[in-house]
Amino acid sequence: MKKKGYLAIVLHSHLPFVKHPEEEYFLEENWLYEAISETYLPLLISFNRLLEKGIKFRITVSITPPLANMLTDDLLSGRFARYLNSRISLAKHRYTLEKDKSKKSILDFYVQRFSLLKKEFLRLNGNILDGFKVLQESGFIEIITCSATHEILPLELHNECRYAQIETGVNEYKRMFGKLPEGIWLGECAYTPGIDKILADNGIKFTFLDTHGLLYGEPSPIYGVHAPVVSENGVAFFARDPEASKQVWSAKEGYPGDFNYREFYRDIGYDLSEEEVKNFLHPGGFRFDSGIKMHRITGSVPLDKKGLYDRKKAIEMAKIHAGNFMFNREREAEYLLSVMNREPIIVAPFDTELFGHWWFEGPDFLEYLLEKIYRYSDVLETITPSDYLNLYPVNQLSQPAPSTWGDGGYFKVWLNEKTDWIYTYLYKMGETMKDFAEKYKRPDKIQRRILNQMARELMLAESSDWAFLITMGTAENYATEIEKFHIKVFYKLTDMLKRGLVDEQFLEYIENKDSIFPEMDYKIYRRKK
Amino acid sequence: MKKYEQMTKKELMGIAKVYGIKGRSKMNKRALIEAIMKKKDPLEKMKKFEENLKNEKLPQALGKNFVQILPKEPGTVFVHWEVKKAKSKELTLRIKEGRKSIIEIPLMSETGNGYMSLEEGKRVHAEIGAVKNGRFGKIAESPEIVIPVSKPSRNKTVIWTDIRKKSGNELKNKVPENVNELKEKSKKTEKTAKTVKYIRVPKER
Repeated sequence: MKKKGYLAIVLHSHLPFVKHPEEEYFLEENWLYEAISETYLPLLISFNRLLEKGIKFRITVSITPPLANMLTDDLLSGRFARYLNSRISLAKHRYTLEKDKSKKSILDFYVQRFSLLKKEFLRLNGNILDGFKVLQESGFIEIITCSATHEILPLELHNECRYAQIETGVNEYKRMFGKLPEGIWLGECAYTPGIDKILADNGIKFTFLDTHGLLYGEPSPIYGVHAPVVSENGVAFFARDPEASKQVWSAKEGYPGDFNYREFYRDIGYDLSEEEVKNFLHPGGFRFDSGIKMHRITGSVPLDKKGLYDRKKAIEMAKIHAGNFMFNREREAEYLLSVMNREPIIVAPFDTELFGHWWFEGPDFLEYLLEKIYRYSDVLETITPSDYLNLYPVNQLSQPAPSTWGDGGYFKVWLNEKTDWIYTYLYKMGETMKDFAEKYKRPDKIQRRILNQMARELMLAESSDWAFLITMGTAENYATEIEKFHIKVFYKLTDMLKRGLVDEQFLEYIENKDSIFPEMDYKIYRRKK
Repeated sequence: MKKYEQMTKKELMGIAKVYGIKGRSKMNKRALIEAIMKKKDPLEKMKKFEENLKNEKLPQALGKNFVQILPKEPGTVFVHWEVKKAKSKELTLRIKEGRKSIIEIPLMSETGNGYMSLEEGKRVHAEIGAVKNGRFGKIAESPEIVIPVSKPSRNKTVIWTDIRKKSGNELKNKVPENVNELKEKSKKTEKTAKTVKYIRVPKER
């Protein structure tokens, strides 16, 4: 039976490239380890469980090149294994010490959970990316790519650098997944007219924008955000449905704030003895989240007044919320169908890390939602943009408006008094890179290595993440340091090339450290006609 | 070396664990120190590279004239420039819409930046020039940008296009009559949970 509307859930998975071989334990690498253990592995487990039950679903997952490179890095995946093992030992250790029965059962839950994660990690031979790849090949998820380092492309004025970001995103996708991507996620959904041409030139068929990117387009879209528009360059644009995302997104009004869900901020890492911290978290004695959290949100009470986590209740709640989300989307789809002359598409994009890392029960919510839609809904069907474009290849012609999905909807999160110095450097480095790409037509072996590394450093400096963190004031020092680091390395390499004085040890070190994009070719920066 | 000799075996064992030294539980004190030194050497070297870079200053001038204009939000742009000019001339920044100059501002310095208000929706670019006897001699020019808009377009033209065919064919299609009933969607953007993604390290309580 034909359904009345389509739901396109889009999970955008991204973390900036953070790799520190020079330290045995590096705090910021935990961003990756937490995301793997709380989000990526649980999602893979959930999706595979659906598969085994014979439940069909379609979901879009973007995996950015920095994340994909980290997930396939030997040093980092080895360190993740160490991270996970230490969590298993910590949970077991606390379990044996614990006298309280209800606390003991929570700790037992963690022992089981971490062991399950480890089993999944070993099943994948330590390659998380493969887990997603297999799901794509069996027709459940559609993986899309992203620009090389999640750059805010409207703030990049070198056309060559914009092209290099997109081309690298496409090349990396091909290297990782063995085919070309149909769609792309633009870092922070940042768009301005002209980017569509670059996407079209790289064979990209669709991308996503925030609501106003479509609504303020030229001309106005008659279906609002419930059908894609197509620009004159032939790229289709889908936009976020504000109602669908709000329920999941908002910490206050949304589902994740339910009192039964796990409390994010209360972690046993802060209650451990110094000895335990040294043994299980960080040999230097640094305290941070362990991933073992024993409490529920409870209400707006201080952290020390939180009630104990009840896994069974939390899971019940995730089921209820999945049902509620489905119900609301069904009513929305019915209404939209009554005012449109085709089935609407409801696009619900999220940061993947929202599910699991921030909202611990998020992967379970998604699992129940997909199961419920497949089993019980006469109204809804899940879909990916590619499928929708096959159903409806005829769409309204419109040029979307400059926009992002960040706070305020434009560019102030990345461009403001605290961060604007970055763009002066990016401009200068881009200029140098373009010049060198023209100048070095036949470089010798070592010159080629330097030029390729310069290209990597430029792209790493272009990551939107550092400006974001500086603006938010979270991990600001680290973000500033790392932004400057890539700029300095870029200029150090420039200097080597100019003077012909090569510090090979340094070159080797930096190639090993900033090892993103193994197939990088600096000629990507040659002038575009 | 001396530092390690003064440590207890237990302390050394802790360090050996950090470096992931295998078979450490069977080692005596001397063997532990040697294994640590061996492991530590490359790390120390790497740290030295990092240290040296940290002490370096960010380079300053590009040695090339340029002016850039970037969109910030509806009605606001960021301009930055770096030029060299002859002593006898005055620097001027021009914001142009196509060939038409819409704003001209005299500049006090050869390098600088700032935020400007400009009408939303315009396509503009920036030029920097040296003025002598009222004549503007262009030194640098930026690419064109679109200034973000804060409301929907009045243009309601509906042209249908088929993505299976590459370019501009129009298709007659029935436009729904009750389009106006489509709900006005909220413009507000929600604070995202993504700030949370990063705030874990290291949090003092």
